[in-house]
Parts: sequence; C-alpha cells; structure tokens
Amino acid sequence: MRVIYLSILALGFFVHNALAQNGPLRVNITQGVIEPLTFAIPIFEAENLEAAAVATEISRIVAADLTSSGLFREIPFDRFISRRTTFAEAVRYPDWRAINTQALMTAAVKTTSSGRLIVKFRIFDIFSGVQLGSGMQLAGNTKAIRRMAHKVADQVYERITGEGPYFDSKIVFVSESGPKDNRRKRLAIMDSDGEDVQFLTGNENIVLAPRISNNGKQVLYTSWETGFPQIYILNVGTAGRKPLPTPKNGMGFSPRFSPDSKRIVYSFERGGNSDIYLMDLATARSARMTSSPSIDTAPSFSSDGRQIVFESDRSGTQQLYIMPVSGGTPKRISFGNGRYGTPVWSPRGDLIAFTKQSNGRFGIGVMRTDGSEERLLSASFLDEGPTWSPNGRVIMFAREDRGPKGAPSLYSVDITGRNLRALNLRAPASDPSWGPVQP
Amino acid sequence: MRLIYLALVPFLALAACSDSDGGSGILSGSSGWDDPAANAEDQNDPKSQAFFEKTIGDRVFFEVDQYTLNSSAKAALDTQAQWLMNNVGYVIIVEGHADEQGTREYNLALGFRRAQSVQEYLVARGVSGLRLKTRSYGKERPIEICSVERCYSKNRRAVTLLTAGLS
Amino acid sequence: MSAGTYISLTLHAVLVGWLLFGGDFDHKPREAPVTEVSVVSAEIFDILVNNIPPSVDTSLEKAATQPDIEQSERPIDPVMDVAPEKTTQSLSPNVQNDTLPESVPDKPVRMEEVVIIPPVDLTELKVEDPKLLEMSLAPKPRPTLRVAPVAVAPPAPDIDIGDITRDAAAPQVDSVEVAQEQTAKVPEAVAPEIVTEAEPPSEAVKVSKLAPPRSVRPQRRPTPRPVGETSIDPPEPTPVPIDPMAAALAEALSAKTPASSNQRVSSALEAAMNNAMRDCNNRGGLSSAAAATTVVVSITFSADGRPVPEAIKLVEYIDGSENNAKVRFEAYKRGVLNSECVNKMANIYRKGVQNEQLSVGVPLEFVVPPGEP
Repeated sequence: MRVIYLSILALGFFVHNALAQNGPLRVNITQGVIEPLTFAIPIFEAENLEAAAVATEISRIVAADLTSSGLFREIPFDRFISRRTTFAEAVRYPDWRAINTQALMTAAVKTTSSGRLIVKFRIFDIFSGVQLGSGMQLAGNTKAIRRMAHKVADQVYERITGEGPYFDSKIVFVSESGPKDNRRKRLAIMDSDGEDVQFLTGNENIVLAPRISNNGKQVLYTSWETGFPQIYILNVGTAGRKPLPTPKNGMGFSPRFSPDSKRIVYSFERGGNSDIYLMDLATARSARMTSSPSIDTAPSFSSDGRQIVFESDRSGTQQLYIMPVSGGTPKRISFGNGRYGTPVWSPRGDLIAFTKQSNGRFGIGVMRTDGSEERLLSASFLDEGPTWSPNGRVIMFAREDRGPKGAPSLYSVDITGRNLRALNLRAPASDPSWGPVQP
Repeated sequence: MRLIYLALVPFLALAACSDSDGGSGILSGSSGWDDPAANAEDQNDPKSQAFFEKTIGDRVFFEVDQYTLNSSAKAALDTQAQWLMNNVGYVIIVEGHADEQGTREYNLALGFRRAQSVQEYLVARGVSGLRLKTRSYGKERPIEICSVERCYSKNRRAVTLLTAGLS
Repeated sequence: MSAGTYISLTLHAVLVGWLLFGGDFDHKPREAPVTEVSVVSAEIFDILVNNIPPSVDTSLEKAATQPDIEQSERPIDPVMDVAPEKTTQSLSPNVQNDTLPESVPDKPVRMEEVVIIPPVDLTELKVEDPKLLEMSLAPKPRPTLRVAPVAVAPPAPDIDIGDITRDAAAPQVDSVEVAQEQTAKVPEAVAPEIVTEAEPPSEAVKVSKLAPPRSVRPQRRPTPRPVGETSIDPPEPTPVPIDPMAAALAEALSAKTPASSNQRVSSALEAAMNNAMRDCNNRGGLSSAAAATTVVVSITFSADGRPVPEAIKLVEYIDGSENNAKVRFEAYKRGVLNSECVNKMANIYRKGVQNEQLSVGVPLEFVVPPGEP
C-alpha cells in the first residue's frame, strides 16, 4: 500500500510541475519611457453657421489645455492623412496610426435658436482601435465657450490619464503694475490658462495674498485700505468686500479658508509678535492657536480640515510645523538645509508644497506630510507662494527677476518636476490662488 | 502720481495756515512713498516734520533677518526720542520694512517686529506709549531696488512717521 | 485500517488539496464590468428621466451681457491711504465690524455656466466602407478585470488574426523591412543570450537571420491540449482519481521542459522582450495613482509573434483602484499595439517559440511595475 501512495505522491509533484509549465508565463517589465501621449484634435465640425465662428476657438483651447498639462503632445494638422468633415463619419484607424496618433478627439458644435451652444465629442484610442467611453455633450450660453472648452479638455484628460480634472477652474491672483519702488497691486481672477482676466479691486491700496475658498465663491486677502494691514473677505460673484473683525490691539494678515469654507486660519500680530489664530466665520469669534514669541505665520489647512501647517522661526530659522486644529503641540516637519515658508497642503492630502530658501536662492518644493521625501521642483532668484491645482497634480507659483526691472510672473510645474512653464499673462502677476473645478 | 500732488495742494495750504503743531504730516508719505516735497522753509524749522526727517533722521536699519537694534540705531533713536518729547503734538506711526530676501508673510511679520523694537525703545526713552502705533509693510515698499546688499540694507528699516496730533 | 493509514490519507489529501488549490490565495482583483458613469445633478437627472429639453438658468446671462471690465483704473483717492481722521479716532487700529460699510465695485464679475447634458444622439456613426465597419465598429468587449491567475487563452490560431490590424499595404511592407532591420540589431543582444543549455548555438543564430515576418509553424506540443487543462484549477475540488493523474504524468514526461521554472520566462528572453517593448511602455500620460498601480497584462500572440488585440487582458492589479488599473492597462495595451514594438516583439517571440521557451497559444503575462508618472 505504502508504495502505491508514495508513487501517487511522486506523481502529484510531477503533475504539478507539468501543469505549471503549461500555464501562462510571466515576464517582468523593467524598462519603459515617460513621454507625452500624442493626440490629434481635428477642427470641430460646425453644425450651423453661427457655430462656425466658435468651433475653431473651442478646439484650439482644448488642444492648448491638453498640451499645457505636459502629459499630451499634439500632432499638427499638416500631418493628418484623414480629413474629417463630419462628426458622424467613422474613424479610419490606420490613417491615425500611421502618423502615430494615440488619442483622437472628434467633436461638433452647434448653436440653438434659444442662443445656446452645444458641444458634443468622442474620444478614440487609436492603437487599440476603440472608442473610449460613449462620448459626451455639453450645453452653455454662447459666451461660455472658454468654460465649455475647458470642460471638454477636462473630460478627455480625465478619461485618458485617470487624473482628476483641473482645466475648468479659476485662479485668483495679484495683478501688478508700475516700477518696483512704486508698485500698484490689485486683485484679479482668470481662467486657469491665463485668459479672461477680470479685476476684483482697484489698485489704490496694497492688496496681498488673495486666497480663494474651496467652493470658489469667496476670497480672503490682506489690504492696507485703512492704512494698516487688515483681513478682508470678498465675494467673487459681486466683488463686494468687507473687513473681518480680528481681536483688539493687533493686526490680522495671511488668512486662509478651511476646506469647508466655514473657518479661517490667520496670522495675528500683537506687540510685535505674530501667532496663529482660528476664526469661525459665522460668529466672527477667534481662538488663539499658538502662543510663542516666535513669528508664526502663513498657516493653511490640511485637505481634511483637521490639521494646519504653518511656518515658524521658533527654532531659530523659518521651518514648517503641523498641529491639530483642535489644538496641541506643533510638530516640526522640515529639516533640510535652508528656510521653509508658505506651506500649502495638497488637495490629495499627501504632500505639502512650500517655498524653500537656501544659499541665496528660492525654490518651490514638496514634501510628505511627515517631512520625508523632500523634493525641489523649481529654483531661481525668487520663486515663492505655491498653490495647488484642484487635482493636486500641478503647482503654480510666482517668480520674480532680480534688479530694478524685475517683475513677477506666474509659473506652473508638474508635481514630477517636469513641464515648468510660464503663464502667458500680459502684466506682471503674483500670489496665485487656484480655485476649484467649477461644476 | 500727479493726481496725488494736485489733491494735496489744498491740504498743504491749510497746513501752512495752521499752528506749528499741526505740521504738514497729513499723509504717511514719509516712508519714501508719496512724498510731498517738503518745503524748504519747513526744513529749517526745527519743529517741522521735514526737519525731523532730514536732520534728526527718521529711520534706523537692521541686519538681515534681525529686529534687534544695534548701537547706531539706538543712538539714532535717542535723538529721535528727544525730539519727539519736545514736540508732543504728533502721533507717531513706526513702520517696519524688510528687504525682498524672504517670503511675503514672513517679511510682514518681520516688519512688525522691527517696528515693535523701535516702539519699545522709544517708550523706554520716555516717549508716551499713547502716541505710538506700529504697522508693517513687509517687503512691499522698497526704497532701493537694485537687488544687492547695498540696496537691501536700505530697505531693512523702521521709519518713524509723524502724523497729525490730537491736540 | 490502521492509524498510520489514516494519517497517510490525511497527508495525501492535504497534498492533493495544495496541488489543486495552492495558487488560489494570491491577490484577487474584484471582477467587475467597467462602465462609464458620470455624476449628474438633479436637474440633469430630471431631464434624463422625463426627457425634458434642458434649460440653463438664464439669470446669470444678465451678468454676462455687462460690458467687459476694462483695465481702467479708478481715480486715485489720495485720502484713502491713511486718512488722518482714522488715526485720531483711537490708538487701536482695529476696525470693528460695523464701522466700515461693505464696498461694492461698479461692475460684477462675469461667471458663466456650463451644463453637461446626456449624450442623447451620439450613437449613429455613418459607415462609408463595410471593411471599415469590420475594423473599427465591430463591438469590442471592454477589457474586463479577470480573476487571477487564469487567463483563458484562445485556441492557437491557424489564421493570423494580425491581418485585421493591417489593412494598408504600406505598414505591411514596412513590417517586413523593419523585421529585417531588426534582425541585424537584435542578434547582438539576443543571439548570445537566447541560447539555452538544451540547444547548440548555431541553430539559434541561423534561425534568427532567416526569420520570415509571418511564419506558419506547427504546434510544438505533440498532444493538442484543450484550453481547460491549462488551468491548475479544475472544477472539482475533490481529490483527483488516479487515471487523469496517470495521463498527466505521461504527458509531463513526454513534453519538453523549458529552461524557465516557476512560470517565468528565462531572464535572457525577458531582457530581450524588455528591450523590444521599452519605447512603448510609456508611463507618461498617466495619473500619479495609475502610474503607481501594478498591473499584470496577459497577452496571447499569434504564430507570427504579433499580439492578438482581443486577447490582451488585464489579469491582476495591485496598489490602485479599479480605475487606476484600467487606465494603466489601457496605456500599456496602446504600447503593445504600437507597430514599432509589435515588430520588435514579434521577432523575439518567434525566436522564443523556436527555442521552445514559448508556445503559441500560451499567453504571456507581463507584470508592469509601478513608478513615478
């Protein structure tokens, strides 16, 4: 009996081996590249005459958005083999494959008799030879073409890369004019691509560091309107504003909203010393969060609203600290060689962006919320004031040149450190604050 | 800029008519910005704001990232204090500034610290605290814009401004 | 029966059980069909349900018709910047809530509204050419997430399904040329490595120079094996009776043992494949989360070494959401179907088949590791 069982045992091993060798074989992929995805956007079909005027503009805004993300590269029109004339015609995959187009977007635009604009589009994965998803339609008024284009770009971007949207968002910033020793500043708001700048205040007073709320409706900023720095809150839709009451015998500055827009955290100076305070907007009551003789400033909330991060020089130089909103001992998280300031928590919750100063230069960096994995994404004479895109993938900041002719401009960089690019604005700009994706 | 000057003219005229305690310090301009041309006559009047600015000296300077007063700053403030106690009609704003070698909020806070240092010193020298206020402009109002140390050192300052008094 | 027999029986049951089920407790992705869902507001849901023509809130349009805000500056009010009245009011610079009225500027800020409406009429696609219809409009099943570790391989094709992806003459010609070009390059890297202990070197070198773009090779395995038996996981959980084991044993003994073990290709072959696929394994157009997801992609190749597009499947994924995996898989699949890499890979694959390390019809599972996006 034993012999039979033993031989069955042996058989078992043989069989397992044999069966295993006939199964799928694994290959470990170890090599790859990182390159933008090629895409083509033929001009949108205009389904009626009025739409023709905007079809080109919308398609170009979409293409520009995708290109600006650094994740896409456009195949220029002159390389197209297929000439598409209508939205409904079938896609000739080999034509697009031949020119190495990985993603194709086709779209059509029409205006309705009620004065609305309708854009519909499809996305195609050329190498796999399939349509991605089922296409989409958007409607808006005829003045909303920029927003519609950004929404379309967001859909394409999101579907192909898996990243959350961010093109259809507004950025609040400070628009500057005049020489360096007589600078005029005013609050402004624009599309995420730098277009459609509108002003929110005049420029007769110094205004600084506007911060837009997560719902995109309000902006906090510091103004010298009264001759002394004071925190104001401004309504984006109406541009109406009013000062926020801060405790007596001191001055508030550097405010930021909580993620639910119900509270603000700010810096309050009294007797020369600046500490972090928390205000409930409904009651306008403030609570003190730090009390140390050091400069504690530039606070911002975590993405879950439970902690704040701020800069403090209590250790001798400016460093970053986090602490629970409910109170507690601030915990230092920056330990590199240099000074750290203007910390901003990523909407994804995993990283904190900051301005780092070392060896006479400034740069924008990110670190994990425990301070590890610090990376610099930019460096120059003066880079400061990072703000996160709503999907946490891109950081925008201000860069100023040295010297009398120096003027600030806005730059953005991908979180990987790639795709550093200047925003194409017509006037100097600083202190950007990136608003949410609009619904 | 011209509009400011034009609008100021009536005030200057009024000021000239007022008693010497009023001075011409309506604006905060003495930090170097919006500076109305101080009258030549005023400059020689030892009780005028122009005299304070030009002869007594209305500012002290700081080292990089510092807000403590060095000996020359203290000496300058001693002189200021004396003059201020002899000319009690003014309300004083001590204005702190920083150079551009720092982030915006930190420089605002540093400006506050510098203003506070000067205020405390003046109070210790006998100037009434009731007459003194502080504020900061951070790095927003540089005097010199060449982005090297000789300009930076001029910007790291606290300026003592005279404004219209209560009396 | 004696106690020893009982113990022996138990041990054997455990052994057989392990043989049968041992692989089942690896990572299992949830199997779920992938559907496109968009979050709609209540208004749009109403439209969807009641088929009401969508209407956009027109109140915002009034704001939109205001003239554009120019860059004109308001007249500068010199008194605004530190008015003396304010400094004499109180020594505290704080302004209470009620002392400053709310200021409203002249023109409100324009905010436009955009609404996503359901794609009601996007289904018709005009078809001009029946052949195009075959190619591009044949309903293709969305890649579904499959339960590890089994990918059911399609039967080894006699016809080359690769035809469908090449309908123009030009690419075909290119592919031949490329193949020839590649053979010049590839042997440097591959020839010395692909040689296994089982074979003399000369054979491999000779074969690589003469490899045609499309070969019709006989099946390597002497006994045709139905798909089901490639599985380690037969339907019955009970201990397998002796006869199938004997048959399997006979088969195992007669089949050639590839140089690899533990279900992996040889490192030489793996290196060659990596080389061939490198330029197409593009992590560049991915979200951070998708790039950080590991996916295992099963690909079945036809006899000429080209991937069968319908037989590229996501088998497993780790460290990411379902959507991350889908996106990562799609990107990898795009790379696999990129004609440059198809050609390079085809050479390697055919060599692997000739060297009996690979067999047509048995899928390869590519483990695509995570990385920075």
